[in-house]
Amino acid sequence: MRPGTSEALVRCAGVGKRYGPARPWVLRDVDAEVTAGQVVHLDGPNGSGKSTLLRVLAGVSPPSRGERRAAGGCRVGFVPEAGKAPRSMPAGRYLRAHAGMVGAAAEVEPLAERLRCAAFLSEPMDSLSKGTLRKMMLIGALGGAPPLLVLDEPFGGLDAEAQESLAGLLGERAAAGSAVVFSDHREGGAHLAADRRWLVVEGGLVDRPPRPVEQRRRRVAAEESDAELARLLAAGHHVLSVRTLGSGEVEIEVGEE
Amino acid sequence: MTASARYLLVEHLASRRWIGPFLFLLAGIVVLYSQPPNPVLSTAGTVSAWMLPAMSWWCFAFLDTSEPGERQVMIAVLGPRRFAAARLLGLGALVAGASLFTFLVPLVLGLFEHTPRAGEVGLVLFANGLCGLAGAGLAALISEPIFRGRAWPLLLGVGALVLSIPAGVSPAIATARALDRKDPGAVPSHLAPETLGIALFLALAIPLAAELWRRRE
Repeated sequence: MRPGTSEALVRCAGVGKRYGPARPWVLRDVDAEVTAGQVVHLDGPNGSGKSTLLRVLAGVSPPSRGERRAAGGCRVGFVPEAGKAPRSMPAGRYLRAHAGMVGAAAEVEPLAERLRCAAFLSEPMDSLSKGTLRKMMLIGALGGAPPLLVLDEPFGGLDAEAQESLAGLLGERAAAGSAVVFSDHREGGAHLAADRRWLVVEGGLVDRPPRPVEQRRRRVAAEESDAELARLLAAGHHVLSVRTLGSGEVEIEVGEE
Repeated sequence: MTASARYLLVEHLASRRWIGPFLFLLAGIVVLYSQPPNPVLSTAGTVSAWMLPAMSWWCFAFLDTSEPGERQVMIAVLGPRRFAAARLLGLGALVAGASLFTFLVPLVLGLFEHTPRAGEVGLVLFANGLCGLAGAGLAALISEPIFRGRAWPLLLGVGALVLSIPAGVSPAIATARALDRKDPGAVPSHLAPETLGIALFLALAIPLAAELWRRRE
């Protein structure tokens, strides 16, 4: 957490979430708090409930039980996991209309320059590539400097330069007092330094200090991978992914033990 | 909130989802005014009745315009209550615009039996708005995210519109009957029960829809 910033922006207490009375619980008894200036990396395997937790934190989806409380006037900049674009609307018009809702239409061009997508502002949203559309969604979320940014896979689909720009931009926002909660499943790329790491496993939340990327990923020779996997599982580690590398090695990403 | 409602309307126009219901409404106007002499109140009352299904479709298309992700982004920015209010404001603007359009087409094309007097203009616009709002209320109850996909909304929407006729509770039929008079002074008393009924329906349907929008997101 950045020094001198401890105001709770959003707090979840005993939050459970399911999408219908007959559906399984996606989140169970989650307690979480995000304070101003904090950067939180949300981690966990696919289907563990990360996107649902982000929607609850953003105030988009109400908890089925428990409560989510936000500080008065806490505006949220939110980027969902996969957003389809409004059909046929030029990107610039879309962003200015969005930013206009919070009086930040003038920020669109500078943010687009920063994320290297200003040339696409006149293009229709539905003609943009996945990465460029992602950048537009990020500009929409960042406009007006909201106190809380909730970003679901913000780096997904971005090129290396844009990843660097975004990591820098989010770091600056955090330094200026905005809280950033983000999920990130990449196998490398630009890194946004987090103050906390929240691990979501089977709907529950474990709050841990951040761990360097190199400690989460282990590379072993392919012939030793089965034994290593068995050892990790026996030691209580949560295996997030297993990836065969071109070098003949296998990379095992582990979650929390 | 006005800016948000304006954005939702602009997004709806850009999406072209308005074309189908607009053509449906226009077709009704053209067909129903194609048999002169077209007495002002009587014919306009029939067209007001046509506005109920047309505006149910159009308002549903309006509420269905934003993709889920886009809707969630707006909820995060505005908060669920203000977003619901912006949607409702957009619905109101849509109904007001369509009510005016439905009256202006025969007026500009000179299709009325005589030039409508001020009292008749007021009654026609009121009846158009009444049926349009009833359609908006129905659309709100079957819209995203209360129902995802189109099968259930189609079944429930069409079912409600059709079954209300034999059940004797169709606001479209009642409005058309109330306006089917030569003396404009006699219309308000016949339109009053329908106005009250639609006001009650909206007083129940709109808060219910807004709460379900929030819960089902």
